[in-house]
Amino acid sequence: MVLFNYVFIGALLLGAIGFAAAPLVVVAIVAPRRRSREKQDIYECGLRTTGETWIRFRIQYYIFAMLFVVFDIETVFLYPWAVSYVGLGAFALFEMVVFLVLLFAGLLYAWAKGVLRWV
Amino acid sequence: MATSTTPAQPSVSRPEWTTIIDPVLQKELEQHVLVTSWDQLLGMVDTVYNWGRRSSLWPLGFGLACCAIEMICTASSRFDIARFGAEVFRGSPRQADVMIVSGTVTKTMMPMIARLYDQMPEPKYVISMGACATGGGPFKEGYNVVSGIDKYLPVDVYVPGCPPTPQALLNGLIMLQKKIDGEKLDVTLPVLGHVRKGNTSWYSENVERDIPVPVLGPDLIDLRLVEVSAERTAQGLIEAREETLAKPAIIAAPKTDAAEAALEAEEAAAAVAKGGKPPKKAKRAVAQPTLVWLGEEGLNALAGRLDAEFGAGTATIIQAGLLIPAEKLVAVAYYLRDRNPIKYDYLASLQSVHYEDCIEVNYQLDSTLDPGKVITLRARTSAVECEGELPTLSSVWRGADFQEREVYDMMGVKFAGHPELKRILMWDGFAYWPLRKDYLEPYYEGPTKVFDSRVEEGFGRHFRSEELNPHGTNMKIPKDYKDWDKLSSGDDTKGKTLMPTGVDISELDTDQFIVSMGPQHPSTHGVFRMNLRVDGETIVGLKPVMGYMHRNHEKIGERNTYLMNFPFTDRLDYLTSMGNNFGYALAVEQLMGDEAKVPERAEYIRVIMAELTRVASHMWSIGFLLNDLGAFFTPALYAIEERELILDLFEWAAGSRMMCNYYRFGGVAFDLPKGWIERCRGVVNDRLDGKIDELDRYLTANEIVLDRCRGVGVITREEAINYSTAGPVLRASGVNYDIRRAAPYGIYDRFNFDVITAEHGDVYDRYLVRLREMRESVKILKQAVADIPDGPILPGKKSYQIKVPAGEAYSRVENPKGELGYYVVSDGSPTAYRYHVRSPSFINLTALERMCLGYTVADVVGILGSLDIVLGEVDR
Amino acid sequence: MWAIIGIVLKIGVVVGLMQGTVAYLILVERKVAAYAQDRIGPNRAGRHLTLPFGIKINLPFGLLQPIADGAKMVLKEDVVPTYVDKPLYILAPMIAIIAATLGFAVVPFGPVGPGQVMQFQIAPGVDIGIVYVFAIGSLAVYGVVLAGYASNNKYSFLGGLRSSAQLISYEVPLGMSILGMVLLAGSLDLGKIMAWQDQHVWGIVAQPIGFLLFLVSGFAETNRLPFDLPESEQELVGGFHTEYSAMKFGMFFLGEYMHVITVSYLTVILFLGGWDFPGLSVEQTGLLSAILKVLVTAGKVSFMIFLIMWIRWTLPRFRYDQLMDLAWKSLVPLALVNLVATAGIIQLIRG
Repeated sequence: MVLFNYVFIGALLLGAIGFAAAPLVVVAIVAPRRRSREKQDIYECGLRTTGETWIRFRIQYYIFAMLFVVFDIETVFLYPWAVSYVGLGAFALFEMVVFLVLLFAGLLYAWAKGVLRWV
Repeated sequence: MATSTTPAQPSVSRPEWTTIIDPVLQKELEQHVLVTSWDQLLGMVDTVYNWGRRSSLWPLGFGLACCAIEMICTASSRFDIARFGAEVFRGSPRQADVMIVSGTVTKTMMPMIARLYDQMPEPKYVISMGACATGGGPFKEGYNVVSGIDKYLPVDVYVPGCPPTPQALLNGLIMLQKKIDGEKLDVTLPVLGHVRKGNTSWYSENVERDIPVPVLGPDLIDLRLVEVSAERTAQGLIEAREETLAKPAIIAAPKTDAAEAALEAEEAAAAVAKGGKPPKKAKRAVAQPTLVWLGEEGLNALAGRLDAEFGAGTATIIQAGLLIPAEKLVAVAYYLRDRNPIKYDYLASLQSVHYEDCIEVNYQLDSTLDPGKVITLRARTSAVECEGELPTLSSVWRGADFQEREVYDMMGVKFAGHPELKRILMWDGFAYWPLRKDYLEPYYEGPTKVFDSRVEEGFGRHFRSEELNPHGTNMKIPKDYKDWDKLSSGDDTKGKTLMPTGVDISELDTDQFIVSMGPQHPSTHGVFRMNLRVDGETIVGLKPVMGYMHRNHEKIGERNTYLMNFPFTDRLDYLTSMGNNFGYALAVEQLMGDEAKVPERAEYIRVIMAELTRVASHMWSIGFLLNDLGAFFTPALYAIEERELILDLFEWAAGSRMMCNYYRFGGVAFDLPKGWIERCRGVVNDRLDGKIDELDRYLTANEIVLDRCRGVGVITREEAINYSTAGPVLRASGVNYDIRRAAPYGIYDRFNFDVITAEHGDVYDRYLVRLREMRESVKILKQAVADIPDGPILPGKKSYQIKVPAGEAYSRVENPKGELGYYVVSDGSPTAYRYHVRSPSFINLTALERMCLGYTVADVVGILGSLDIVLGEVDR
Repeated sequence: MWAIIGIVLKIGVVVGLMQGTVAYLILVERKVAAYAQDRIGPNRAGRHLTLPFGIKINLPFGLLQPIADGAKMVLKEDVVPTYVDKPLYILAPMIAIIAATLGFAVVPFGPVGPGQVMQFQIAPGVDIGIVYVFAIGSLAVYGVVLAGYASNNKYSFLGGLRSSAQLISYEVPLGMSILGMVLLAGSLDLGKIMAWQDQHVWGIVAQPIGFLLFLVSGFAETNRLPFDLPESEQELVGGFHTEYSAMKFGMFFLGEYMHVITVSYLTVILFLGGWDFPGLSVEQTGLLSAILKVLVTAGKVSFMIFLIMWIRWTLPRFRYDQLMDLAWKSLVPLALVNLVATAGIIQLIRG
């Protein structure tokens, strides 16, 4: 029966897709279309663009992504703990503090390493 | 105002099965419910469609020149373009509906405008705002000015004015809405085929409606006309026409007093020998570099010291300037900077003059430690095209960097050892050296305005300057130009060679990319461009590219009579027209000497106007700095509220909000109207302080402002001086140097005010200096409006014919942006022989690269905002 | 059968209302901007209109402005530049809208729970509640990142990268900031959290730090000033949507405002008591009280939305590195401390 609740979400998903696609379809039918060399070109303040856009970008972005994964998973672990915390004893608090301290140490390490410095 | 493009009513093609019904019945039906014909149905579609578009016209967010300022004012609370749903200025052409061409269209900018227009999605509209966009306006004769955007783009509405007031722009918008109301769609339906022909043509599929992007070749070349242009060029029509015209005079360079006297005696003797009278001695202006200078004795002593140090003949005094041989120039410069008793650490200005026998480059130097001891150095080189060469002084004073490039660009003089000697205002590949006396513009008509009447005798037909040029447009290409078929609209010659190389800052092998910020960009304050090389978001290389607003101010100034040039100075830094007038008036007054002695009342009026301008300009600058930091227009619009009151005062006194054209040689144009001074007192005493306090309260301690501004864009005291920065930028680095105190002009020595300085030289300090300077200006204003006496406003009668004695002068005023200097050489004729503007915005930009390296893309915008540039002045 | 029709109806009504609200929010935003800047704002659209069949209307306050904008956008050419990654380029705005719509599924916009006349929630009974909202909310980042990448434009590219880093960074404090409320209410179900607030105190009193963290992260998640770096018009022209025209551009806007609505609802539900108001309590299950509760919630949400707009038109923007510093060096540690402190206090009270 729990799963039944998700049927609503499925229905909404269909609606949302329809809603997202509809304007595109309408536009494709009714909007004017005129192609031209310059119009299809990349915009860069009125100039032709120089060099590649899709390049190997700075690594910092990926480090943030990794940090995110670590901390997001941590948060996911925390939810069930938080929900059932009322029913658990003081030991649950202690355990979670240990868990958090470990993670926080990780953050501090990253901080000290200068990873959090944006360039 | 609106173009009358209502073509003949298109014939309506009805589908065959349309039944014909009784007209009376049809009318009846139409009145009530039924749609009885295709036309009516389509008419309803048109109505809805047109209404949608007219109510939601989003302009492309780009401003070209002075008009852009009024365009921004149109969005301010007083005029509020938002009422029409048109306040959504989009930075990207992809999201814009209407392009407001606001200002002078230059040749350098034209390819960008065409490309931006092409990149806008259909349906799109063009409003041509102001005289320049419509037909070239006052700058039409300029060699870098396109005489009207409609040479390239289809214009829907023309808005007259120079600049049009915000109300006029709103009216233009309403006109455009009316035009949209009359549009009918061209309808083709899947089954029925072509149903109706409308008066618009966006719906025809896959039709190229491209405006070919013109090319910057030897001149701006319209690719649609390339064959005709090639043919006419090959025939040498331009050269043939030029031969028939009177050429501008070219005079000999000034000589030492002894040589001059000898020459005069010789001429007199020759004349007597011929049997005539000896010619009357032409009046000469007092020889002095500028009003406040080292003085004759000091100069003699200095010349002696230089001769002693570097050998006899090093320094020859010519017209109160030191002529230094080219080979000793660098050594002398180092000596003057480092070892001379008065340390000339500040290169105020650098410009060149094309004489008959040489091209002279002269340098105005001052000392920030002992200000007001200005001297002029002269260096001479060959006058033959492209042969002149001098050593660069950019290693001594970094501030010479851009100015030397400008000399190279305008006169073709090379500077040996210059790190990056490329064209700065024009583009690489431009065929001429425009400020040489032997270069005649494509629309050249004669050496001096006023030109002949453009109304043909007896016919009443008015002809345009286009008709004088064999190409029918503002174009001139050397006869021997051959590479016509190599022209391609993909080449952006301008700035192409100015790509920053940059350095690797990370240990890992990542790529950097080059991105161009500008010329059309929401926060470059006009059509300024920076080529950035970024690693991540860090700037590792930056090259400013300018000239997109180069509208030939100096060349035009050499055709205009002295008086006619006043309104052009308004359009330099279009936020501070009164201040610009002031400087120009001073320069010519210096030449005129006692003839132009300013009466007391006029002196007060001048100071009041200049200080009001300063307040208005700084308010604008602070407001838009905040805008650059990302605060969406709110602070900016608050800041310019009081500016509107000041503009009202200007309008009342001078007749125009922005382009006041108010100063005259020896005074001002009109006396203050009755009640003006009371209203001015009201604004000064009751409003300005409150507004400055308000800005102070909200911004000075604002956390985000502090975070974004402190420690960003730092320039040290030594660098600030060496880069010749001026005004608030210089003072924010701790240099106590304000022309009003360093070399007092007008009656500034009578007022009690402080020169504001700060220590860190970062964006925040520049903001702070401006804020506090406004308080000082208000202080001056309060004294001036209290003390202003009655009396005349001009020394004599109003005169349109001004005799300016031969000589040269350099005037300096402390404009809101920094030291504004005018260098004028007169040969005694009604026009200036050479006219140069030392523009603070331009020279302050020399330090931009130094300020930005190592900071992020977001900071660049803030740093540029803190420099407070105005493109009209940068590119002139 | 009736149940299914009911569901469809509810979805239709809610999504429809939301679209309408979003369109008008854009007008409201423009009006708020005008108000902040001493202006009038749009007031022409809707004035003196003659509709087909001779119907004349005259509406004040530019009430038809959103419709005019919509009409224009639909009939505006949709430029797809040659150099873009076409599938992704088209997908990106769709993702933005789909994610924003889906996120609203479990948000209760009125009273929910057993015994109510009606469940004011599209998908009642999804017990993971808030976690679902965050999960779907994270998907929205794809819209922005893909748009930035697919456009093949340097401004878009920078905007997209900034955005990805910003959104994922703020997701962490956002998730952690509500843990305190979850601890107190003992449930992830938003209805239960509201009920808890009705019986005890509003979340803003019980969890002031949590509220602050949530508000700040919420701003960042919705890309609103002072955190609108992906767009940052002054630096990146239009950021990730620079290359988007017509309706696709409009879809990003719709998505953004839907996000604003969702975040405002969440703030109200989690920290401002949801439908709680003096005189209303969880026991009342009548139709009248239900309507009142919906209205109270909507009122509070309107206030939140106004606050968000007000801030946008007041403050300058942070710089990128400052933004990241704020997330990782201030908000995340603060959220952790807040969590431990809350848990500790609960433990103490329990003895």
